[in-house]
Parts: sequence; C-alpha cells; structure tokens
Amino acid sequence: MSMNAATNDPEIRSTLFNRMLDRYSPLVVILVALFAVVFVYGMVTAPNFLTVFNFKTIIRDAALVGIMGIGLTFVTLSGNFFLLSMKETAALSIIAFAIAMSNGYGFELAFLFTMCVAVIAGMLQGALIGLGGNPIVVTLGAAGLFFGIASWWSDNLVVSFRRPHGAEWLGSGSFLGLPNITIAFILIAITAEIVLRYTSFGRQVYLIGANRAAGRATGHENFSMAIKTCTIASVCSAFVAIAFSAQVSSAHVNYFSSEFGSSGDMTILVIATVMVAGNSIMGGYGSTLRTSLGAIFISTVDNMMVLHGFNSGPRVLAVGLMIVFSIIVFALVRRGSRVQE
Amino acid sequence: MQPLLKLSSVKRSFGAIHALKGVDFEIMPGEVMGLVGENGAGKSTLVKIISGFDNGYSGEYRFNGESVNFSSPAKAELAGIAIAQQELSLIPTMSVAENIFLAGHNVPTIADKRRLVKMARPFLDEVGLDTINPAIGVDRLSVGEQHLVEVARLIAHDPQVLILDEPTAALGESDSIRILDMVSRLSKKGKSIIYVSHRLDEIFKITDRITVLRDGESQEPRTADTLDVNSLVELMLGRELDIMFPERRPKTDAEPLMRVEQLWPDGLLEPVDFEIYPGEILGLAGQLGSGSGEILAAIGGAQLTRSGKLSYSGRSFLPSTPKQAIRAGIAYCSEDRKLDGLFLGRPIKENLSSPSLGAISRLGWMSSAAEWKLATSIAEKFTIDASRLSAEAGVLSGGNQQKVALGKWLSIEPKIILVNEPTRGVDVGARAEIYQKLRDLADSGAAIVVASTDIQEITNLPDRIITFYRGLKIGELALQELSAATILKQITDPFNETNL
Amino acid sequence: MSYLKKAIGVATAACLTVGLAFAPASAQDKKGSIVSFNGPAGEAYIGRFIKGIKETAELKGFDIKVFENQFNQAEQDQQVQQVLAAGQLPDVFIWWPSDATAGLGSLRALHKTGVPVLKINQLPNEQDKKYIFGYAGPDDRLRARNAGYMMREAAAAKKANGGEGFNVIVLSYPHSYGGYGLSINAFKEAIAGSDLNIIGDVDEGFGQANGYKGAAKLIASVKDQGIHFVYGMDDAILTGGIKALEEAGYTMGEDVIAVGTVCNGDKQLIEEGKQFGTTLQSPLHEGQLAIKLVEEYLDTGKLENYINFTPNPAVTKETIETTALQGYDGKLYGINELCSGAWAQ
Repeated sequence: MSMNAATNDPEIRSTLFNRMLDRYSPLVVILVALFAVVFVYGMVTAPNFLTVFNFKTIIRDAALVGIMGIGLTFVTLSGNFFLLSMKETAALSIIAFAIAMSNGYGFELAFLFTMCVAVIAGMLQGALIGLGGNPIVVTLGAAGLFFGIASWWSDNLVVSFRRPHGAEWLGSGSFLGLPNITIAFILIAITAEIVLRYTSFGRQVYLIGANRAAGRATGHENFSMAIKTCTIASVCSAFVAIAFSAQVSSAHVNYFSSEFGSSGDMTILVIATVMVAGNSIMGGYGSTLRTSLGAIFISTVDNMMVLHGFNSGPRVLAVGLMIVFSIIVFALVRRGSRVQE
Repeated sequence: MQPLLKLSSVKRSFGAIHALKGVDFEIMPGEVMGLVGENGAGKSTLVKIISGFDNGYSGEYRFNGESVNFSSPAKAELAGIAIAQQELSLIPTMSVAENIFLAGHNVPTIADKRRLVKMARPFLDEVGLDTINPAIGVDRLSVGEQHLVEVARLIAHDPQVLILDEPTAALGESDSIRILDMVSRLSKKGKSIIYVSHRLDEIFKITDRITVLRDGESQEPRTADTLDVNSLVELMLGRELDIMFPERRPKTDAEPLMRVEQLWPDGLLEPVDFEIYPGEILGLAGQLGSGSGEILAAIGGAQLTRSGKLSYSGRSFLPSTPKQAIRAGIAYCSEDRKLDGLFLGRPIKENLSSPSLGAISRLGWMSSAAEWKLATSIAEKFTIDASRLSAEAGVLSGGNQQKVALGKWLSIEPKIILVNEPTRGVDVGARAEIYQKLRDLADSGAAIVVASTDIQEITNLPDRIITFYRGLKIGELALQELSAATILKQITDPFNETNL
Repeated sequence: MSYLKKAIGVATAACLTVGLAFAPASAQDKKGSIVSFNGPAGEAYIGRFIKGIKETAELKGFDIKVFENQFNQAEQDQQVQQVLAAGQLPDVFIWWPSDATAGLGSLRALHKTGVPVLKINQLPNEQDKKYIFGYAGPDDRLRARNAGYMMREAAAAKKANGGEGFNVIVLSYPHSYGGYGLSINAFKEAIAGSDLNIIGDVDEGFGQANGYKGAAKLIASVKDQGIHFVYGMDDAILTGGIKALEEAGYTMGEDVIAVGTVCNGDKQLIEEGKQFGTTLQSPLHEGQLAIKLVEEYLDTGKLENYINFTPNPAVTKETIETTALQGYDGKLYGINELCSGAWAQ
C-alpha cells in the first residue's frame, strides 16, 4: 500500500526510476518492468484473486515448502550448497512420527522422538560435509539411507492413526482465522531472519559462506557450521513432516516424492524456492526472508494461473521459467552493483 | 611521428563514482609506456577501456589513426591490442604449447602435439623461455615462467600493443628480472608496451615514458630520465611523501615473547628455532619457495607441521587451527588476501569484526552498536574511510583491502602479528601507511613478524632479519648488519664463498 | 567412467544369472514359475498388488519372482533384458509396464520367448493384444461411473430435502495422465441430466498434498458461485480436498458432499460422514485375479475372458463394515485388506 502512495507522487517516482536506471543495467530494468506488467495484469484479471480468502490460500500453500526452504537456506548461505536429502529426511521423520503416534505415545513424545531422529540425520550429514565430503555425494548417499530405513521401518505401508489425536491442532487447527501451519510458517520465517541478522551464529553463517578459507583464518571452522546448518535444515524437514502427518493423520514414505506440486519432488521444489529468491548458490549472500518471499511468490504465480484455468503442464513450465528468469536478473543486479573503486 | 594509440579526455563513471574524470593517454610505436598511480587512481579502468573489457566511456579512442570502440576484449585483440592480466588465464593441466594455441585465428584446426611444439618454439624464444620444453605441463613451471608463457600466448597473435598489468606483483626477484628482460627484448622488436606496476624501480629500469594517473585524471607523460623516485611519488600522490619507512628500533634486552622451537612445516628442509621479542618487527627474508611464508602459516595454525612447539606466555603448545592461534592472541595474515584474508562480498565492518564476534556479542546476540564502535575505531587507526563501512569489501582498491585484511586483527588485540607479504599489490601511499601502522603496533608492545620477497621492503622495514634459502634457515641479521647486498646474497646465493 | 559402468552392469547381470540359475532348483516341486515386472512396492497401491500376487502364488503353489522399477521404463526394459539374458525362463510373465507405449518393445521381446504374458492394470491397446494372452486390472470407466451414480443418488436425496441446481467441483488427475479422460467422461455421462453441474476442475497432481493445494485454489476461484459437491478422481486427492474445504469453513456432509473412487484415502472420513462414499478398486484383488488367470491359462491353455476387470462395489458409511470381496484363495476380504489408503485399525 505504501508503494502505491509513493509511486503516485511523480517526483518520487522519477527519482526512484532514475536511481534504478543509474544502478542497474537497462536490461535488468526492462526485464523487471516487463515481468511486473505481466504479473500485475495477471493479478487484476484473475477471477477472485484479490480476496482475503485467496491470499490466505496462497500463504498456506507456500507454508510447507517455505519452512523447508528456510531450513535449507541456512545450508546454502553457509556455502555448503544444497542437501539433496530434504524429502528423504522428511520421509524418515514422517514415518517416525506416525509410528510413534499410532503406538499411542501422544503428540509431545512423538514430536520429541521425531526431532531426535531428524537431529541425528542432520548431524550425520553435517559432520561428513564438514570433514570435507562433497555435499552432493554425501546427501545423495544419505537420501538413499534415510529412504531405505523409512521404507523398511514402515514396511512400505501407509501408517495411520485415528482421529481424534493430539496433533490435530497443528494439522487442521487455526487461530484468528489463520491455519496454524500458516502461523508456524510466519513464526519460523521471523525467527530465522532474526537469528541470521542479529546473532553471532547468523554472522558466522554469512562469513563462512562468503569465504570459507577466510572464515577458517578468522577462527570460524566450517566443520561445526556444517553440522549446525544441516541440523537446522533437517529439523525444518521434520517439522514439515510432522505438520503434514498431523493434517492427514497418516504417513507414507512416498508422500514427499510424489505429492508436492505437479513436478512432484519436494527436494527440487525446495531448492527452486531457495534459488528463485536470489540467494547465492555459492553462499554468503541472501537471507531466509528472501526464501520465504520466494515460496510465496511461486505460490502466487501458481495460484494466479489456476484461477486463469491453466492446467498442470503450463504451470510447471511457468515455475521453471521464473527460476531461470530470477537467476538471470539477480546475477545482473549483483554484477551491476559491484563497482570496483 | 603519429601515436599508435591515443585516448583523449576519456571519462567513465560507475553510478556516483567518477573513476575517470578526463584522461589523455598515448603510446608511440615501439615505446614502453609506464602507467602508474595509486590504487583507485583509475589505472584498472583505463586498462579495461583500452583492452575492450569496458566500452561504457565517453571521449575519443583512436588506434592507428582511426576512431575505435571495442565492444569486447576479443575485438580489441583482433585489432592488435593484447593484455596480460594479473590473474593468469592458462590451463594448468595442459602443455605449454597447447596453452599458447588455446584460441584465436592462428590455431590450427587439426594439430598434433609435435606440430604445436614446433609452432610454439619461436614465441617462447621471443619471451626468453628458450630453455623449456614446450611439451611439458604449465603446472610444472614457476609462476614467473607461467607469466612468460602467457605473454608468449599473446605474442602468437602478433599484437601491436601489449598491456602488462602488474606482471611482477606475485614474483620473486629472479623471475621479475626475466620479465623485465622480456619487455626490453619485445620493445626492440617494435612492439608497443603499456607497463602497469607499483614497483617504481622497475618502472625506471625499463620504460621510455611514464603516464601518471591521479584521482581519475592524467598527468602529462614524462620521459623516464627526467624523473626520479621522489618526484614520481610526488606526482602520484600530489604531495611529497615524507618517509616511506618509519624509523627503526635497536634490539632491547627484553625477554623473548615467544620461542619457536623445532618448528618444521612442509616447505622447510629442517626444523627451525628462533625467538620473537615484544616491540620488534622481525623480518623473514627469502625468495618464493624459501619456506619463510610456511613458518608464519604454521605459527598461525593455518598449516600442519611435522614437529614444533611454541613457548609463549608461560605455556608450550602448537595451534592446529587458526582458531586456537587467535585464542592465544596470535594473528596471521596470509600473502593472498583474496583467498583467505577478506570476505569480499560482505560489508567492510563485518570484515573488521570477523575475528572477534565473541567480543561484540552477549549470549550469542550481537550488539550492532558495539560492532560499529569496533569497526569505526579500527577504520580510524588504519585510515579506512569510515563512511564506507557498510560497503562490500570487494569494491575497495588493493591498498584499502590490505588495510582491512590487516586491520581486522586489531579487534582481537593480538600480541603477535604474523604478516606474509604485507604490501603485495599495494600502492605507494597505502604502503607507507601500512608500514607506519605496523610500527605503531610494535611500539605498543606487540611483536610483528613479516615475511616478504620484496627486497626493498625487507631491507628497510624490520629491526632484525632471519634469512631463508630454499627451505633452509641461513642466518640472522641485527639492525646494524642490514643491507640490501647482504640480504640478497643470503637469500639468493648463500653457499657461494667467493663473494663473502 | 564408462568402463566402470560397464563393469557394474556385467557384475549385476552375472549376479542375476547365478541367482536365477539357482532359484528354480529349490522350486522343483512347484506348479510353475512366474516372473512379474511392476512398479515399486513403496507405492501404496502397487505394494498391495505385490502382496496379492505373492500370497496367492504361494497358496496356489507357484514360484514367483518380482522385479520392481521406480516408475522408470528404461529401468524396467533393462530388467527384461537381464531376465532374458539369464536364460532361465518362467512359465508365465506378468507385465505391468511403467509406460505402456514406451514399453512395447520389451513386451514384444517377452512374447518372442514363447512364454505367455499377462498384462496388468493398463488396458491393452490393439498392438499389445498381439503379445498377451489376457488382461487383469481396474476399469477406470466403471469406477468413475459408479461414483457418478453415487453422487446422483446423494443429489436426489438432497433435492428431496429442498434444493436444486447443485454445483460440483472436480479434483482431477493431471490432465496429461491417461486415466483422466476415461474417468472424467464416464463421470460426466453418469451425472448427465441430473441437477449436478460441474463448475470447476483442478489438476494439481496425485496424492493428498496436491489434493489439498489444488482444492484450496479452486475454492478461492469458485467460492462465490457456491460449492455443493466434490468429486475426487481418487480418494487420496479427495482427502486433501476435504481438508481444504473444511479449512474454508464448509461442513463436510452437510454443506458439501464428497464422493471419491479407488478407496485409497482415509477410512475415517467415510465413518465420520465427511466423505459420502467411494467405489472400491482393490490392488490386493487385482493381484489375486492375476494369479487366478495365470492358473486358469496354464491349466486350460486359454482364458474364459480376455479382459478381466476387478469389481468396483460402492462403499458408503452404511456399507463400509459389510463390504467384502471373495478372494481367489476362497477367503473373504474386508475393506481393511482390500483398500490401499490410510486405514487406521
């Protein structure tokens, strides 16, 4: 709303526009302007897009992927690339949670148990990466391990537990008209951003990500950083798994392999969320706030297209194009803003 | 005679920063033109414009009498302007000959190795690499030889103008000499050479004329023999430089601050012992490969060693990580600030506070006020522009980057500061400031250990010197024994008795 | 690299050969041997199918070997190559292709060995028919048609209580998926001429999460027209859709009536009346049917029917505890064994 007020004032608008032209290459300005036009046109013409109900839908839709994206952002920012085991960690967690629930341990115990499993999974991967293992190789291996354990543990069957159960408040409850999962997403997003900005741990994430060698030289070892960030990512995965299981009162190892988005693969979707937000793949630059907005952005475009009646094929294409588009724009912007003295 | 290349009132700005405010530059056929100036004076920008990396300038650029505007380095190269940059563009796993014919119009479509070797030969002769076999891998050559190969690669395209951007910045004495020889050989053959360097002694040795840039403006080119070091420095700074090296202190009879015992890092042939005294600047002199840098890295916990102990502040230990060294009050700056001295993509203030996050935070929460206070105080001491503390360190010039890389260690109040190549790629003005700062730190009671391959620096900065030659400790020289000749003798040819 | 790959390939083939060579030795006294190519047991539906063929085969005295692929036709093709290369042929192949069109080459290769092939799950096309002796699997059309009739009944009941012109939203399979066309057309035929009127369709993807996401968006778009019925192309998608409708403030069973198919969702929703009903499609039964057909073919040299569908009885709150199918082992199976969804015991 304040943006609207600002752009209505011709003087401010001209300086804003000039400033953009001054700082960024014309290509960036044209691309962003073009996208903004398409985006706004799509929003205005989509039936029922501009309703409170729809905005709630959009954020709720972004919540689960967003929470996992926030976790993964820590790993990426610290220069440890991506965990390719996000969905398998979630699969292991959801099985752990559902088995605990179906055995009647109650929500609190099941939650604690699942988190313990996730912490161990995260620390294991973090330690291997911290010792110098290639994140791709380590997490691909871990992915197989976790998925294997989860399949064996659940016997490949759907593990379900009867309502009413202690997790319903998380899965289906709401507070002040917002689903509790949406509230969890907002709280986690705020917490993560505060941790990154205002704690020495957050600063270390950025420093080690910006230059691992310089980080080591100034006393910040990647070994403990890799363990910490992988654990955060793992715990976020587990939280999403618990929330999802709480919602559907069941668990199956394939829930995160085939059930998220038309592309179906949760890990890819989470990585896309981190990328579309312009976080640096090499680390050291970006924020969890960007990732949260990235998740909402993808969900907004998707939502808009559903309201326009597009089916799944074009929507997958649109998400792919957006990622490519944002990578190009962010790369250009970064290059443009780096002026050598 | 017409200038071969001529730029007139060239201007270039990046946003609010005016990098070039009106520069005239010319070079005659067969001339060696020195291009000097402080970091930030606009040398890199000018070189980028000439070589086609940057065409967002205003002003006129004439080459061979015609007005030109190169939209890419490839187009400039095709026209006959080639540049050898500081960062080498060779592929280490390929052979010398293959590197020479990596790309360009003269690359044979089908070439077997033997034919390439034959074709490469004349170009290697031209740069003075007549003794090496073009079939061996580039990674087996010294850094200086690699620079020569890079130039040979450029010469293979037969350029009219060759730009050498600080070719000797990372080289030891003997490799530097080969580069200088090559420059004079090429100029005799009629090539025009633009030689960019911070090493003023070289500039005088090989250039015909010198163009000085200051604050984005060019000075009238001068013939080299009308200038001396002092007048050139004055042109560069726009003022007289009082002193380059601060006054030195004779050795006191204080107890040693640290005893280095049987330290044996990789790169040394045998373990070394020496003492470090409070308040002194100790110099480790040696060429590349002498092992002096490895000793600093080992004390700083950045490199593993085979054996060794440090007796220091009542205990005997050896840090195995930089973290342990930092806890003990030992700061270590490597020779490559871009590799591990700076977080280029992060703000300057974050760089300055990076070693001491604990000191500016409580229970894990950082205090923004404390960080600003710390950063401003360091910036003040190291004359870093305090208004730019929020800017990325990467936008700073080499000299200012080095000040940040060094200055960050003030935040841990170190007792021992180890600096490898304190002024590599740093301009004259910033160099003097860094020397003065190191002296101030020593005067405040810290011990400074400097390793350097720059003979002028190592002769004039330290109070005491230990010399190294190919992994061996040769000798120790006290203040009264320090002379360039003695040091050079010990670090280049210590076992030849005839000259002693 | 390629050498390494080749070496691994050879090693795998060798292990398999040895394995296959020894396997039949222990099965001398068996009635016959079967090799089945199908998807992964990790998928709930296929998992039940595998349980069905394995248990029934054992009961009937067949030796069975199951090759699972991860929904990957290339992997399945390779498995076929390996089995053929090993030389020890079974008496019957069971063929559930990952991609029926791309897998045609492998089907032909199986046929060429002279061993009869039974196709599973995906209705045979004209080309397939040359290479198989029969088909066992679900009838997408019947299943959808029964769901349509079920919704029609519910609508009639609702009309009797005063009401007319009911709006239906559809939670679809991806439109690119083969089953979509069959399902939607049969469903439309079944509700044609009633008070039911489809006002929206969304194809987010398979499964509960996608059902939830797709429904949430669809609700936002058609909310102001009023939503009275929801049809889920399977119960997993519908389960997610019901969550979305509940979160949007609808009371399931009163404001909105939900009908699904397949019986791979949440049993408790039917018990609670939140889902009106579903039409059963049992993977366990599909597996048992396959073995029954194998036995019939080996005994008589032909099948009574070329195409054999699994039955699709309607399941509602009233019938959920009584619905049962007699398996081909003679036992009676209740809903908990037949369905493939989240069936809390």
